[in-house]
Amino acid sequence: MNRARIVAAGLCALGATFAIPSRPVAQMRSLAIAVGSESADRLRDWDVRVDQLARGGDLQRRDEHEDTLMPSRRHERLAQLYHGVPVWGGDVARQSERGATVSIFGSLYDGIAIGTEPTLSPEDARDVISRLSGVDLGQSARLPELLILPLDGGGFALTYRDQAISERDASVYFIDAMDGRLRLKYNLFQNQSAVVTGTGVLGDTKKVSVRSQSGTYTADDQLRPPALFTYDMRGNLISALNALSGFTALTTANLATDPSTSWTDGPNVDAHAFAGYTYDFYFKKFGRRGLDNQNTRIIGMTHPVRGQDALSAPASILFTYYLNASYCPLCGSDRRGMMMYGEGLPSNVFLLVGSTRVFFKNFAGSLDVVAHELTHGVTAFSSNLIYLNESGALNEAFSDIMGASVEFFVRPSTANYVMGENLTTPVIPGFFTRSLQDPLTYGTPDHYSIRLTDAADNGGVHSNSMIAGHAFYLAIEGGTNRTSRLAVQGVGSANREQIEKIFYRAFTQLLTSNATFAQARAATIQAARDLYGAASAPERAVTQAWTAVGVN
Amino acid sequence: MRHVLLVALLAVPSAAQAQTAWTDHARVSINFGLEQPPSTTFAGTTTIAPVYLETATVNTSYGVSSGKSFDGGVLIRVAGGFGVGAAVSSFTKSQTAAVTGTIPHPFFFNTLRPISGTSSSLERSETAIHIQAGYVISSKRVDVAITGGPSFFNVSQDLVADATYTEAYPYDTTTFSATTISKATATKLGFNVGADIGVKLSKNVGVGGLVRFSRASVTFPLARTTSGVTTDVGGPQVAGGVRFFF
Repeated sequence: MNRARIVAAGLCALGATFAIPSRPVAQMRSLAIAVGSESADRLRDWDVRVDQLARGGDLQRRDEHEDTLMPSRRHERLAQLYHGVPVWGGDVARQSERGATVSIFGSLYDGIAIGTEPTLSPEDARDVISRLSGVDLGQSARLPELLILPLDGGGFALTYRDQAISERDASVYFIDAMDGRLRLKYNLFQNQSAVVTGTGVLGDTKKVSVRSQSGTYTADDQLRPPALFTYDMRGNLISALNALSGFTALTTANLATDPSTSWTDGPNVDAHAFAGYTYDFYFKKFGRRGLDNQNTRIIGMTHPVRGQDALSAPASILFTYYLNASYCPLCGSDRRGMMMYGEGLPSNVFLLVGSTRVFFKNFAGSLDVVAHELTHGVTAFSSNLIYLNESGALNEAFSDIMGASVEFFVRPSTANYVMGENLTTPVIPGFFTRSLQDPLTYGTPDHYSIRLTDAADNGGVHSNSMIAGHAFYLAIEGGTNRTSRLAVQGVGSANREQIEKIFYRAFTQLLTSNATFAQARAATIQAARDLYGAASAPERAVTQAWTAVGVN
Repeated sequence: MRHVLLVALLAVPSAAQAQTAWTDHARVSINFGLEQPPSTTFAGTTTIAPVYLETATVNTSYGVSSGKSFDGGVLIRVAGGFGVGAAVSSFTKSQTAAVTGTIPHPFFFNTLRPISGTSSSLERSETAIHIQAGYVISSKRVDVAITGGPSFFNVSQDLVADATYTEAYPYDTTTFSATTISKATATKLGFNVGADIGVKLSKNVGVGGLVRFSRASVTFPLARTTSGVTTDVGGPQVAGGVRFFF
């Protein structure tokens, strides 16, 4: 019911007649009353009319109280009735001073000409609401209330009103008391899910699922099954560290928020939206319910540092909280993990790579990076691959594989096998980027024989990961490994999902924490047989791919 | 319906073969019959905006089939065979409408999800006042009145104002749940032409039949529509009943 329309109609109705045959008219008339002391005659007329209606039983006093700000004044509220049945939205507020009326506001409906004896019983109406809402109201001792409902298109209906509240919806229903039809439904809670428009780090526009609360919007996804929060640390590194360490719990006040429905903080928009996309990917592709498959809460943290402090930041902070994104499996006050997205660099700050100025965007703006970090959470709750040496490389590989897969899921027309290509301008192969398609060009090994074995980077986890990542690529797309020169017959991009499922199954169900590349090969081949049968095309592709990258 | 109309009109020249002057002061007819609104279907589109930041639409295709009608009228002779009068007819019918629509996706732009269902017990109620000028061809036992003039229609129609649906994660589909109904009323000026045959059983009482075509195009106001919902009302009416001659 649109209040503005009611008022507009009411003001017209004060002087309108209905005998014009050439244009449609509505049966319903609402009288909008807004008279104060500036119009003594109208106020007197309405005062008399209100008294008459009250004496006649068409208005019923439901509240009367003193004015706490102006002690000499009193206020009364009267509700409109029609043959003893309340008229929804019909009420009057009258202010008086020492018995003299000062103002009258409200809306009254006239032209009501309907029966007030319902055909349906309140129990019948309750059953209808139960059916429509999916909420069993049979346990409720309260019965629906009989009301006259002014209709949008004109006229009135005798209705039953009741509310139905479930986990995902809370609505008020008006059921026609004569035939059981739904006449009106509206949301009950002001604290509701909402979808806002967000502009991401790259300037693209997307929908963001948030919570609407008291006129503002917070990054609390109400539409997806798990609790999914994005916290904006607003550049307060101390608070960020305390939250990551679990010393302090993040609260509603820390949530990314915006008073408007058009969000412009790109990192908050992307971190929140991309976490949702990643959850969707796992659910729709594999039926997985979040990181732990039990819909544990998902937390992302943005703006852990201030962009303007980048130039003065020590290298440890620069490469941890500016030029990095990470998943911390035991972070948070409940030790169930958090994502942290690096701030990137201000637009006037760059790194010199050789003679090239490289500019960094916020790390939350890269879909494959967000999916990569969340996949570390999936790994932490499943195989829990130790982040060291071969198992660490497999941990990284699975995050890259799923990161690329999420990109193909969300943006099939523009997706690629390069990780982090949206982080820097320009893109320099191997500098904050990796390629599952062509690892060598990006400075990482594409074959087990040339894997890194030194102690740096936990045993080369971010480099050696591409051996497994490249095997994933070859199993899908096919091709020839540059080092071994062995060719692979892939399943084709149209069958991408087969290889995705194989790697998902192997890495979340079959592998254990200290897995090796050889075990990854065996596990993926087993997964291929499980899903598609021995000697199937996917099994052949996976087997050939591992052989091509030197893992036997 | 067309066959009935043809037979009735063929009766006119037959009755006129032994015509005499219309001598009654007035003739009154009371009829029950059938009426078929001229539009057997009409459509309405309601836009519900915004749903997840985009516009949802609900398209309703209303069927309008024939239904019972009641008619009563009087024609008063003013000169010779000419007369003036008025008739009141009413028509009520409950119908079912097909509802289709598109609901935006909560997570993605330009990803519309279809819904479809039906909405039943949508009542159309028409009351028309037909102002008539007529000419009566009369014989000893039979008279035929040819009439025409403006008609004032008052029509009420249950319209689908909104559709409710259920959805669940991952929100790729929606399930039609119910419709929200709004009763709209409109008045409109149209026209009527018709023929009424009366067969006298006595000096003042007889039986007869009526064939009338009336029509007007009305637009019902409905929230969230660009121009309301338009349909034709009236239509061919065939009825029979008693006649009184004064």
